[in-house]
Amino acid sequence: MSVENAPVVDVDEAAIPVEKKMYYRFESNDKKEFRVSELAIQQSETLNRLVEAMGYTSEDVENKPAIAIENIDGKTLKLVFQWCEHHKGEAIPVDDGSVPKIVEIPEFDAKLMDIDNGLLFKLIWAADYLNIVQLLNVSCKKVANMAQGKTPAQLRRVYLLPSDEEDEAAKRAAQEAQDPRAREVEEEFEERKRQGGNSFF
Amino acid sequence: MAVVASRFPLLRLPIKALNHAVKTMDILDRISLSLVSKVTKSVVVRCGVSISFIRFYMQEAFFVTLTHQNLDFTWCLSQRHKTWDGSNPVELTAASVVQVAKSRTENYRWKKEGFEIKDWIKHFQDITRIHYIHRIVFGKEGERFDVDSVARTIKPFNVNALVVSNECSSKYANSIFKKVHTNHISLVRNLFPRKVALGKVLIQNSNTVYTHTNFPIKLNDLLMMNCEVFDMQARRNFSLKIFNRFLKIWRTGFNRRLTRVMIKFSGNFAPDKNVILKGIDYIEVTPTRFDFRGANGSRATLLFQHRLSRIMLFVSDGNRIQL
Repeated sequence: MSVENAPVVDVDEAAIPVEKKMYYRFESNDKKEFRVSELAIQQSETLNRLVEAMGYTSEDVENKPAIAIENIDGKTLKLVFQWCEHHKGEAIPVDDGSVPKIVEIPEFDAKLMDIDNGLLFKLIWAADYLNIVQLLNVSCKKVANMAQGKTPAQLRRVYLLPSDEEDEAAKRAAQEAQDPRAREVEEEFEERKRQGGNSFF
Repeated sequence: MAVVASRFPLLRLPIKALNHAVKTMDILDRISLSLVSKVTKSVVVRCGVSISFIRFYMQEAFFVTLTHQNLDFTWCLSQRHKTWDGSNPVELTAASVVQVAKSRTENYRWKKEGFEIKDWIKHFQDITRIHYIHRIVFGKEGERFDVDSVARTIKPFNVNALVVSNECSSKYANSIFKKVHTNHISLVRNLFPRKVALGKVLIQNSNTVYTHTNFPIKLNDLLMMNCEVFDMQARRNFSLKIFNRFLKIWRTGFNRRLTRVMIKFSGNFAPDKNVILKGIDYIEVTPTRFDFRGANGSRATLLFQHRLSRIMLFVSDGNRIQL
């Protein structure tokens, strides 16, 4: 039968079942709850896999306890989900370990990341943990931009970088903390020296 | 109220994020970061600094140029001597603050306590993982520096090619060729107009000598040749008989390092094979390819590339010749 000759059927649009948007509930480690759309969750590989594995229905989402995210606080998680909701439906870069050569920070992201460095630090940890590739790209670019035009001495201050001497001292301290016997031996040696002993053994 | 600059604990980021941040830094910022400590250097080495060339320039100061994505970043590593009265050359000494041009209008000034010129170069090599210097170029302004001190500075590094600018004086050029040794030597101009022998260059234990201009070449120059590859420009009046005599002497076992000689004639010129091969027992493989034996079983192939106005001599130690 040709297309022209096909019978015309009136369709009652109201009768077509509309798939409901699903909102998942998450809870931060300080017991703050967030409702996040299914599409937004797709930005996070970790959460996407988690909800897929759980196989929740709309009723489950409402009736079961919120999914706990143990190591992220509410303030950080709020930023993460704001970002995910804003960028929902956007193409997700493939996480093949490579780093894009040019990263532009969109206006929304720039405003979202107009935060103190402590919170930015937590945001990057969260993006890494939740595997949100594009959020990691832009947040790391913000960190990279802090280096612009800085001398090595300025970078040391900006990035709180210890000098070689400080690294050495920290390493020695860590070794000593790991091996208390070494400290005892050293103290004994010092004591014998004070007592005038020529030989330790 | 004093403004407190905000700080960020870079090294406490998860490893993936740390690498991400460092890799998206501008190239100069990444190099600056590598200078902070051994730890930051190792982070930068891990993330990579993609550089295609490292070159030295000896001008009114000692410069190192790193080429990144077709952009050159040049560091001035020595003290500058903008003016020089032509008296005794000065010792090459490290700059206390090195400068690198970020753009035409912007310069970065970096300081690293205790760093000598050698330390800077070594650092650049470490972070770029390029373990040789592509070339050193001597300009005429370089004459104000004592060549011995320059030679001492670059001695620890494997410098691939030596380029002497056509503006250098013969005296300066002679001094450079005597004291600076590289794998390849490139002569832009005839720096020996008073017949100071080209042989002084050819006798060096370098791999390749290129000449980009017409040199008056004598048989003695060719006989002093100790390089593996000699590519030369020749005038049309270059004596083919001299080359014939050279080939005959080479067959007796002279310069066993030799693998290639190229003679490029100016203009359209088809050299006469009968003159070049006169008295040599050869096999005609094709009308433009002739093979003959050298000493100790080595084999030579002579190609006449008329369209390119050049002759190529290839030498191999066996029966197979890599063309």
